[in-house]
Amino acid sequence: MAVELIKERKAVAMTGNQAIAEAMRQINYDVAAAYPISPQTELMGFFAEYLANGLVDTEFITVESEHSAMSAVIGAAAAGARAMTATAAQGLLYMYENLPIASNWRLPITMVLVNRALSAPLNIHCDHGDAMTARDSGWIQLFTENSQEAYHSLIMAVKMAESALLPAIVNMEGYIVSHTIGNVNLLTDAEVREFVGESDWRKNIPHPLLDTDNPVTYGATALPDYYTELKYAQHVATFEAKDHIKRVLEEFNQLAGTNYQIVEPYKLDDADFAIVVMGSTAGVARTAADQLREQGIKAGVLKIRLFRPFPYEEVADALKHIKAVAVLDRHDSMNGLASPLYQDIASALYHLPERPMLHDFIYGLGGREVTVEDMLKAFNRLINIYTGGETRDRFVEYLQVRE
Amino acid sequence: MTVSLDKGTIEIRWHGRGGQGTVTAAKMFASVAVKKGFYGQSIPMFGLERSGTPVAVYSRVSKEPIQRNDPVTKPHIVVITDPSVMVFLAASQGGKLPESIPDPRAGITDETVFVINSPMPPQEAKKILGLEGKPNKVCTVDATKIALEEIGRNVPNTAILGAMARILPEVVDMETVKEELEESFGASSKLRALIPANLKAMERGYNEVQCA
Repeated sequence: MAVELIKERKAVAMTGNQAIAEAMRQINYDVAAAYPISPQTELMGFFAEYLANGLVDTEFITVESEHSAMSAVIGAAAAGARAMTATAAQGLLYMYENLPIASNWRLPITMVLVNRALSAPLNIHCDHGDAMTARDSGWIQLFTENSQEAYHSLIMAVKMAESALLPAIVNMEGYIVSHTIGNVNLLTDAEVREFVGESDWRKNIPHPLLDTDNPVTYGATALPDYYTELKYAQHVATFEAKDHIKRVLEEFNQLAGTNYQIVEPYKLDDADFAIVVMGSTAGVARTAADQLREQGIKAGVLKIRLFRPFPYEEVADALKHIKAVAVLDRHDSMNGLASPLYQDIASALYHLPERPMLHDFIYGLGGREVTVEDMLKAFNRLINIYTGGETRDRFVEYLQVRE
Repeated sequence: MTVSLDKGTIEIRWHGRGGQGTVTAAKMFASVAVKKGFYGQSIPMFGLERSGTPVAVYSRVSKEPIQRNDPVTKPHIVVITDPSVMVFLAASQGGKLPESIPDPRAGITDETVFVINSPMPPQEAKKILGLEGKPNKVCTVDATKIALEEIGRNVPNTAILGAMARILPEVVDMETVKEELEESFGASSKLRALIPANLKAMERGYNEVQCA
C-alpha cells in the first residue's frame, strides 16, 4: 500500500519536475514507463526516489527507448492498469507511431510532455514544437503556466482521460517551468486519491484485456469495410471529450478552490486588442496588458489551457468583440501560411459575421527568453498594423529574430 | 536600511559560477520565502554550461502571486556569490566585463542593494562598482572564508543567506533557514550532520557582513 505522506494541505516551493513527481506519488499509478531525456530526466529521477523509498505501489518499467515506453503503457492500459509516461522533444517523436494507436484504442493513458525544442539544431530548451507534432494524434492536450498548474493538471488529466476514454498529454515547459521553483499548494494524499478514484483494472476501461471471462481483441485490422466506422467512433468521442474535461475542471475547482477554465480571458470584456497565448508566457503577457492599460490602451489576454480538443466555441465567444488579435505561437509549422495556434484561432473565428483582425507571432523558440518588452512589442506592432500606421507582407512574423 | 515587501515584488539577481551552489542558494531563498507565507520564485538559467562557468539566477518574492517569469532586468538586490566577479570588475576599471560574465551593474537603480561574497571592505567594493557618492547600499562578507572555516568546503550559500537576513529580514531569518535545512538535508545522515556548521556559517554571515 502506498504510504500517506501529506495529511494536511500545505504550501511548498517546488520546481515543475518536483511538483509532477509529487502528483505521480499521490496518484499512485499502477504502471509508469519512461526513458530519460532532458528536461524530463530529473522528473523521473524524483519519482524513482519515491519508488525506492517504498512510497508508491507503481510498477516502474525502465525501458530502453521512448518507443518501448509508449508500447509498455499501451499494453498496461489495455490490460486495465492506470498508466503514465513522460518525455520531451525527439523522445515524443520516437514514440509517435504508437500515439494514434493509444487514442483509437481509447486508452486513458496520461503523459507529461516537458516541452523542448525539436532538433535540428540540437537544443534542450523550451518551445512547443514537440507538442504540435501530437496535435492530430487524438490525444487530449493541456498547457500549464507554472509548477502549481502542472501539479494540478496531472491530477485532473487522469480523471479527464478516464472519463473521456482518451489519452491525455500534460504540457509543462522545459526549464522555464520544469526547473523554476515556485509556490505549489499541495492537496492531501487522501484528497488526490479520492478525486482520481481508486484504480481498478476491471473498471478503468470498459473492456480490459485481462478480463478472461469476456475476451476481447485489441489491435485487430479494420479494412475498408470497418475503418471508417471505427474512426467515426473516435471522432465523436473527441468532440464529446470537451464536456468531460469541463466537468472535471469544475469538480477540481470545487475541491482545490481554483478557477480553471478551458480558455481563460484576462481583461477581455472591454478590450480592443488581445494576445492569445499558451503556457508560461501568459503571466508575462498579462503584465504587458496591465502596463498598456495604464497608458489608456485597452489590452487583454486569452490563455488557452485546453489545446486538444480545441475549444472553438469558447475561443470565438472570448474574442468576437476584439478589434485585433495577436496569436503567439511557440513553434513554426514551416507550412507557408502561419503556425498551428494561429490556424486554430482563425478557424474558430471564421464563421462569425464580424471577426477581429488576426496576426501571428512566432516567439520563444529554443528557449529564447520571453520578456514583458517582447509582449509590448507584439501589442504595439498589432495596434500599428490595425490602425494603418504600419503595413504587413504576411500574416506571420518572427517576434524576436536578430536579422 | 532594509528592503521591504510593502512596495511590491522584490526582484533579485544572483551572480555565481556553476557548481558553487548559487542555484541551491536561490532555491533555498525561494523555499524560505514560501515558508514565511510569501510567494517565492527562483529561475536558474540552465544550459549546456559546465561547472565553473558564470551563471545568473533570478528570484522574486512578493505578497501577491507572481505573474512574471522573465529574467530580472531591474534588480532591487544583486547578490554576488562568486568573488572573482569583483576581481574582473576591478581589472576592467569601470569598463566592460568579458562577454561570458553577466554584468552585476546591468539595470541597477539608486535603490539597488548589493550583497557581495568578498574579503574586501564595502567601501572598496562600492568604488569598484562605480557607485561612490551614490545612495546605493553595498555590503560585503567573506562567505567563502566562513564556509571553509565552518563547513570545510567552498559552499558560501548559508553565509550569504546570513548576510541576506540583514537586508531582507522580512523573508530570511535563522529559524526558517534552519527549518529549510532540516527538510532538505533531513533524509541523509551525512547531510544532517552538516546542519549545525551551516547554521554557524549563517550566523557568522549575519554578524560579519559590513555595508557602506
